[in-house]
Amino acid sequence: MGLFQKSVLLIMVLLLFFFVNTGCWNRVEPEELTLVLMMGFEREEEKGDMKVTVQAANPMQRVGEEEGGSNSGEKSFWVVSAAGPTLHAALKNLNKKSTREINLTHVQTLLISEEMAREGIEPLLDFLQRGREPRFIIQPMVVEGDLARAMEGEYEAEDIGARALARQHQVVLKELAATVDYPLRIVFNRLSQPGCEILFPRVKVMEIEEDEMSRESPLEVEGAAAFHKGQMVGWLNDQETRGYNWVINDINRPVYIFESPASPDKEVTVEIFQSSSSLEARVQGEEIFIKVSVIAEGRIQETTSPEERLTGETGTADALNRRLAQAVRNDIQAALEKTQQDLKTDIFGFGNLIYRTLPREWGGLEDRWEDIYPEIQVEVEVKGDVRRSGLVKDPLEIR
Amino acid sequence: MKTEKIANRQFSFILFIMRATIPLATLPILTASNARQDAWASALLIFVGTALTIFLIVGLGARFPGKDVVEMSWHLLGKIPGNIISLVILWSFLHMASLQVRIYAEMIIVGFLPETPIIFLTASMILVAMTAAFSGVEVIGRMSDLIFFLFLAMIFFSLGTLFFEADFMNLQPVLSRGFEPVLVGSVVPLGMGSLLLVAAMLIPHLNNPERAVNSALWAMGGAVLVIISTVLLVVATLGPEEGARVVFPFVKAIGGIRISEFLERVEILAVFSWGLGLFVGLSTFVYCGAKGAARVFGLEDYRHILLPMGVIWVVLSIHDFENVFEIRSLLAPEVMGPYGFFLIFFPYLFLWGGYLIRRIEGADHQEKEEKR
Amino acid sequence: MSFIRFVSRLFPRKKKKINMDKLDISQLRELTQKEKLKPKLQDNLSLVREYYGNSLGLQVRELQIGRVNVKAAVVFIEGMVDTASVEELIKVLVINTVSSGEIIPSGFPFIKYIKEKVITSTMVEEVEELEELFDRVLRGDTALIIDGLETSLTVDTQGWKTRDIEESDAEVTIRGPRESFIESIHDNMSLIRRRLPIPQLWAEKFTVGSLSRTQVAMVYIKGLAGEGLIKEMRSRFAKTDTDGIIDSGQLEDFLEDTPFSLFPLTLRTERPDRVVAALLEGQVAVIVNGTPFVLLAPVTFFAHLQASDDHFEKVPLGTFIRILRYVAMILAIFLPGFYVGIVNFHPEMVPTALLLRIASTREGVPFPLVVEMLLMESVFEILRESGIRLPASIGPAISIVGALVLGDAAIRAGIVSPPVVVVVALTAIASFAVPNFALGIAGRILRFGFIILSSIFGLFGLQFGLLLLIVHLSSLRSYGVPYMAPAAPFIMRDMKDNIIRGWQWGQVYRPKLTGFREPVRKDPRQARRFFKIFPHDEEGQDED
Repeated sequence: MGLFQKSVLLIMVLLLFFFVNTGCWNRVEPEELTLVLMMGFEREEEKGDMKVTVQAANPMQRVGEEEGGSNSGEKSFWVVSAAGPTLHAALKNLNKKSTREINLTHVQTLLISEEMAREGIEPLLDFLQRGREPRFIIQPMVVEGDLARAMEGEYEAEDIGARALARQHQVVLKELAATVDYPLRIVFNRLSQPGCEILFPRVKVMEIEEDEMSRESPLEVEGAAAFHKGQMVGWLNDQETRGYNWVINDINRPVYIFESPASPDKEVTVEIFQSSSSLEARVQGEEIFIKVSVIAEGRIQETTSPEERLTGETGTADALNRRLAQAVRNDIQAALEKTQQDLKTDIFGFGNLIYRTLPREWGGLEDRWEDIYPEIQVEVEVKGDVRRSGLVKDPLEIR
Repeated sequence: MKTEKIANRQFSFILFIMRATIPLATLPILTASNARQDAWASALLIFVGTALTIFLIVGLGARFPGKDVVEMSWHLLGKIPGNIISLVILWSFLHMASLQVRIYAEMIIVGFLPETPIIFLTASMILVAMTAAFSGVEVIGRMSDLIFFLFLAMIFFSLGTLFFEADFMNLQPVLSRGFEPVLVGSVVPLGMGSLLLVAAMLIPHLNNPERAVNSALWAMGGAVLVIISTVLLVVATLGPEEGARVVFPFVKAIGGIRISEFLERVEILAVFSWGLGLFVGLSTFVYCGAKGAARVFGLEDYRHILLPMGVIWVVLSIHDFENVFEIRSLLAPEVMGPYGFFLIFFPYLFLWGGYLIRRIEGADHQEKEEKR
Repeated sequence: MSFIRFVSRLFPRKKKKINMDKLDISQLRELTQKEKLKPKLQDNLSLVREYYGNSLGLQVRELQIGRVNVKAAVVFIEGMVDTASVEELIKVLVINTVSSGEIIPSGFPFIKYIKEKVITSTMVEEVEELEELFDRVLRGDTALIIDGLETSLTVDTQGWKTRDIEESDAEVTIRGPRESFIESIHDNMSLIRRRLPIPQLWAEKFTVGSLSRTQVAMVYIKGLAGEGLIKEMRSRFAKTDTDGIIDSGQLEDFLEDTPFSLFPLTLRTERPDRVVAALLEGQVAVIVNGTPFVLLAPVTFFAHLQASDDHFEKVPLGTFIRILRYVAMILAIFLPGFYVGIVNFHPEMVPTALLLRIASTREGVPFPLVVEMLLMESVFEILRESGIRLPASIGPAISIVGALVLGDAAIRAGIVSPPVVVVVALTAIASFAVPNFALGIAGRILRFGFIILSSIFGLFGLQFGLLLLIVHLSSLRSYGVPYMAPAAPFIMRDMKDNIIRGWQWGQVYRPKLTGFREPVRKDPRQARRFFKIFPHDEEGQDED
């Protein structure tokens, strides 16, 4: 035990006392936090201030649950809003109405009102990136309808609205491919790269009639909001969103219904299980060609036609494949038409594709890309492939 | 006093960890240049550059296996010029260490503990490094053995998590920005290469000093691999522009992905591996700095000046930079490049010069000495 | 001067009687050491009685040997001797010398005659000093004091009750030898020797303690254990200056370098198989009389995390158990600190659902999380400590109080939150998985340090603590062997039996740092043969 070790020990003990006396700087007990799970942004109407609405979990409600007492009817979350000239100021103002420290580390979803989105989302972005609390996995969405009602939406089977919405988004994405998956990380990446625009999922606030049965969900996730230079320019419906997902190769299990090859008035339902797509760009002088090749593998889930017999010889399989391909192509074409003719925004990132694969050509195109984009020739090549027919060979014939 | 010995493997591990910690910190090849998605190419350049530095520093050290850099400069240049040269090298230890601690503490404050006074973080880190340095170089060597695998495992895990979220499309277009940004990107890490000067202090402690160059090259090869894979994955996850805009890209990238429902925001893992690596580097700096200073001032045992040196380190880490912007401007290529090159080349130009002159004029003289 | 001596010889009875009451122990000991046996039997007997203080147990049986009717006495301590052996001794002395009718050859010393021709015991020694006489008698020998001789004979008649060799309580194994050491050094030595029947198994004797005179043996395989290590141990034994040791744990204090370290630098074991395995790797065992715990040195950190079972079970199983144990050790040290750090400082890392749970359970708990954690950890430590000392019959009571009353009621009363109890319980279970008690304690103390550190800096405090721990562990040496070997310094060759458990046929080399005198255990080529996936392919091919 040399002098040195003694002095180190002494310093450590002194430090320890100091720590204990001054208290610990960042220690915060979990029950002293307002755990915000969902944030909503809109403009205040009169002053044009930022208005932040947050949905926070209410831990007190769970205590009641545990003690076996009947649910007191308290909500498991609470919603509060405040306004301020900047986002951070608005969030600070929230503390006036909260008994606990606002903590944003567990925010999962960000709701943006349609007006705000159309005005431009730029004011939001810096805050989301600079602070240490918001996560990069937050999913921003655009609300069609009243933001306050979306924030307060109560679900029958879920206790916290924010978690319910996040799950709903995932389910819609997976089962229908009717929405997009754009966490902040990808949003920032796309915004900072040349030649691509962003999409946010669309959340619809459902109108509940008085006499209607209570709905499973007060909100519906469907379609997407297309942006151009950080400003929302229009909605994509679910078909167009699906088409978009096909192009960027991010598709899960959508369902296609088309005419049965065997009997024209009956329908076949095919669910997609495996899919892949690739993009290829070609520049010839002023003409730009994009080739989208898609392979869609599906499986018959339902048919209403009793003549639907699948054997190796019949042309039925081929016809099915063709029809599936056509159905997929329709989706893609719809998305392309909407964005090229209507919205004029390059959500597919074709410009980025050219930038990445043909950087020399991109130099000449970059400045007038907005004008060029609607003129691009997009060739869509879809290969449909119905491979399996479920657990029965042939449909039931009722005699 | 018996010289403490470390194995060449441990020497490699120390150098590897010191070098591989830098990309975890600020990833200067990405953030300090506009090479963007081509930063991996700068990493290759770094390997070439560092290899040259190694030949410069370790190559000379291996010719005088029993002497550390201070003794060597006395031997080659004489007492007073030797001391001046040594002071430059010691300054680099002092400054590099305080810079690295400061960056680490900055990161903790910005990312995790915003209210903690920075001096406590730097002081605790330096204190811990001082205890290691007090125990001697053997302990530092053994520690590096222990930490190496921990460090590697953490890096592999964190890179692995990035791998599944990475979109390698972000790496295109390849080398479209020309060669200049790539070159600029390698300047800052090469400037940071002045940390290799510790090798000059460690060589007399090696089991096998003749193979020091070899060990150092292995370490650099490994470190460059880590740098390349880190920069590739960070660019692939965050995107080239974003990756260059963020202050701590690696930490941000890991924080930006969700591994599964219950495992997210594991950036602390990256921070931990950074902390472990920094600690090895720091204790080596502290040891070498104190050892060298004790030599220059003619003290028997470096342990006596460890405490005052530690205080200097803490003060330096706080007062060297007023704010983050100053760190940022120091890490800019046009400042860090010349500075680092000065720290490496100024002393070694003289040392090599002295060596070559001696070689030419007195080959027989040296032989005599060897016989003695 | 010679005149004075002459005068004093004239008046032998004038010698002053010593007043024992006025002397303290060290003076008494000194006095005993000076005292030599007298020619007269009665003088000797009174000397013995005087120094023994007529305490309980001393038996003096006076008798007459043979035809010549030499007066003699047999001195022994009741309870330390085997009565049958003493009887046998008396029988040969009293009867055999008479019945044999032999005449002592002239010129043949009487003492030699008795020693070589009369006494049938296995061990007989000549003793001239009172100190030595007592030393032997008090260890269970019987002293034969013969009138007219200044030399007495001590005969081995040891025979006291010892514990049977039983199964070990502290180190239980599922598979493997069941024997464990007992308190007698000779029995313990025999347990080792039975497993290593070679003359090169050397046991050096030492006596430690000026009063306890404890017998200590340093056991090693000559030519395998490093000479430097043996010399070092010897020199440390030479320095053990104390009045007495009861257990090997006290000896450990003398043998270790770092008094403030929490980590045990010698391994204590009750199992002979463990000792033999260690000896085979060039380590040294220290057996202390009176305790079943044998010390092994030098040992590494990883040796403390191993149990004998690992080697007896199949390889995948042994490896799995080992890894499990490492995980348990890590949990036992870090888990509570990690919990405090992560919940108090980095709530972003906790899954949302879990954080909500924690927050809701902490609703209304009066203490900060750190205090809560320290409280529960202390309670657990107290529970464990009181559980150890309790007799088995009321042991269950403490678990009822501990588990039901403290755990359940404290939660219901809202004094602590359930997650903390879960963490404490998990840590407790994990700490029991550490096979070595001493290391387990080290982990338990460290745990408190880590809780405090995490409550200051969050996970960074944990990191600072971890770094300090790494520095400390790397700087420790157990008799010259780095404590963290083979991880630091990294020795690839030794990994096979430390982090994982290698196959027995693959154990080609002894650990580099202890078994360096003969690093190869077996023919390495023979081991290589086992690695072939298709052993038939190698038929007809010759090696090398």
